[in-house]
Amino acid sequence: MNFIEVSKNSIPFLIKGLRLTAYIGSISLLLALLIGLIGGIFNKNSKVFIIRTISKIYVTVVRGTPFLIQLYIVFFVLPSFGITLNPLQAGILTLAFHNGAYIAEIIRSGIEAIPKEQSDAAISLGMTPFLKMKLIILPQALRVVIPPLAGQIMILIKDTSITSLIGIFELTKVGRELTVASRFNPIVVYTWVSFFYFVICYPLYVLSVKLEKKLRLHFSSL
Amino acid sequence: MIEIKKLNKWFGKNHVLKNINLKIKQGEVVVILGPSGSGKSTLLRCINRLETVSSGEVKVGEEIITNPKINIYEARSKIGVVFQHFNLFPHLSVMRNVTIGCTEVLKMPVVEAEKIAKKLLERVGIGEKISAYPSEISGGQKQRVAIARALAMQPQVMMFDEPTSALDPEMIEEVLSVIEDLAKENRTMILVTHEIGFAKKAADRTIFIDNGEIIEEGNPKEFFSNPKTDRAKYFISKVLY
Amino acid sequence: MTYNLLIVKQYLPIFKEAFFNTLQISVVSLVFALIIGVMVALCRISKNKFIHGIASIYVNAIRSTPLLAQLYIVYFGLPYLGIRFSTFSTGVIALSLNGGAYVAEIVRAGIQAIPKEQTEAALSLGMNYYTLMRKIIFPQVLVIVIPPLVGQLADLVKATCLLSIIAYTELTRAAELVAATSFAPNEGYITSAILYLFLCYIIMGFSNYLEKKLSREK
Repeated sequence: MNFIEVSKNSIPFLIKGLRLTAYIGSISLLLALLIGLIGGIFNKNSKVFIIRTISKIYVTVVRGTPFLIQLYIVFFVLPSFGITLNPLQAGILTLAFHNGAYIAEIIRSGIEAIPKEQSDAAISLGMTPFLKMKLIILPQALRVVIPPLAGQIMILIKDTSITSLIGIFELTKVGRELTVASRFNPIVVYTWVSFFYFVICYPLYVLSVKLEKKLRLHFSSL
Repeated sequence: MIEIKKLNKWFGKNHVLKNINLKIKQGEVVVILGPSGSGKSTLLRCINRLETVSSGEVKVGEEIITNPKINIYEARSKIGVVFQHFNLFPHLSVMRNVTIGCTEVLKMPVVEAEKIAKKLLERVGIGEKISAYPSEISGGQKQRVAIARALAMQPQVMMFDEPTSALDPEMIEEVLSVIEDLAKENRTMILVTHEIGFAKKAADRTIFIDNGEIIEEGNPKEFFSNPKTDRAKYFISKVLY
Repeated sequence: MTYNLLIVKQYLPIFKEAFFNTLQISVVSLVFALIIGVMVALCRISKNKFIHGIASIYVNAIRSTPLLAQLYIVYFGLPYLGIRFSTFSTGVIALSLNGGAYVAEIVRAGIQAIPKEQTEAALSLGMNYYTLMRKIIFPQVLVIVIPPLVGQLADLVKATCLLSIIAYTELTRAAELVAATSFAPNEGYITSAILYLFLCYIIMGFSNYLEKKLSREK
């Protein structure tokens, strides 16, 4: 079978897989951002012992073990705790939980990068810690962390490929089935698989670079 | 208006403020002078509890600031602060910098806040820059926005922590004239500054602090021409170089 | 939850072998990744548009596609072309090509962090390009670049988990074996997780030690 035929026959299936990738990716991204925002604010440098400890453990464990192991633990080990999830649930949950830790660290570093003087000015106006975070610190912190945040989003999208290993029929799994079950040329199929990931991730990267440059013009922390 | 009793502040082993006792009347303009590291800024920061005191009491108006049970946020909103490095919010326009305290802390409606802001910005001489961002204006303009921002909260007290020390020389005048203007209005003002000329002109009282203690206080003209203590004499000789 | 230490003890030899396999393949891949990465980084700062272009395509292609897809291309694609490698070599190839792109970015950032003034001063003293690189740029880049590169080693260690798919006996495959043969997923995956944590902890500790040592030398 030559390149064009294999491509023509595989692309429709790959696009179906891509849809599931996009679906898993978006839901877990939203959850990860939520977890990351909370984890970034209530972070491991907090003055409250409980928050500090939980945060440290969460971040250390997530960053010290591979995503695949976390996925297997959620899917195979949690049932013995009474929590049984289907592959889709396990995939989305692990993606959110895993990337949430990284996003939390990213947001934390953004928050800590904002000069103390901004906090002083906000406090002196009579702002509560909540108002200070919402109006002054977070808006600036989020602008600062756009590049690493975009990078982490790219990582999340790429990590969806690993969920194929617990049977989710996203893009990579579809590709694998095509080469194994239908015996299509793996080089052609996987190149298309990689191409689709590239088409999602690379523009994201370019966009984040442009966005960061644009926002840098507005910025001087004085 | 402001009463400070037996204020002591330690930073670790460093005794930064030593038994400060101070009373400032309503409408009084007080200038605090002293060498670097004497604790002047720390004293200001203790007044609105940006720093907590190690011991002693601070009272502003009716509120005992040092009492942990009071609504410190409400109390702070009545104390206006202008910082050495302006500390404008870079992600907000000039107008928004001035109105944000009014709308979010004082819960004023936006239209009303913007009216107040516009008047104040015109008063300090930056009426035409209201939609600009802090990165687009000069240091002197930034500081005047900072003054407008503090004034918009209609505070009982205005505190200035070395407001002109970070400015290029040609911009000091424009900011000082705004502050002088305010001083004429029967406002309670505390300034930490090195601007001797301003102190002589606008202050009702000078307080000289060295090494965490109040060494000498009194009428500015007398203080500069006839300092009573040795440390004050030494300081003035260095400053009036 | 059950965690039977006896089962863990029974499989200890496999975990031990997997632990050292993981370490071994990570280090080997890191070495190749470093070689590839430094070369690519130099290409990326080159003024030659062609060289710069190829290097950029490589880096962006790797960073915008998942390691799993890259592994599949190497593992399934090469045999299709008639080239057969051992599991170990396949793993090293995939991990090095992947790691090389990330190393390239780290090294490039390190080089570009050296202020231009240093280059100008050195060239004014009459140095040529090689001496400039060796004596001035490289030592400073090394200090900047070592912490993130050690982090890259930790990433490589974690990335080896995908090699379980090509049946290389590293920590994840060991866990799968335990889970499958003794119906003990807890003892399998949790033990592997602990071992990964341990490895990463050592690597991070080493990174902190290096950072302290390097900042003292400054």
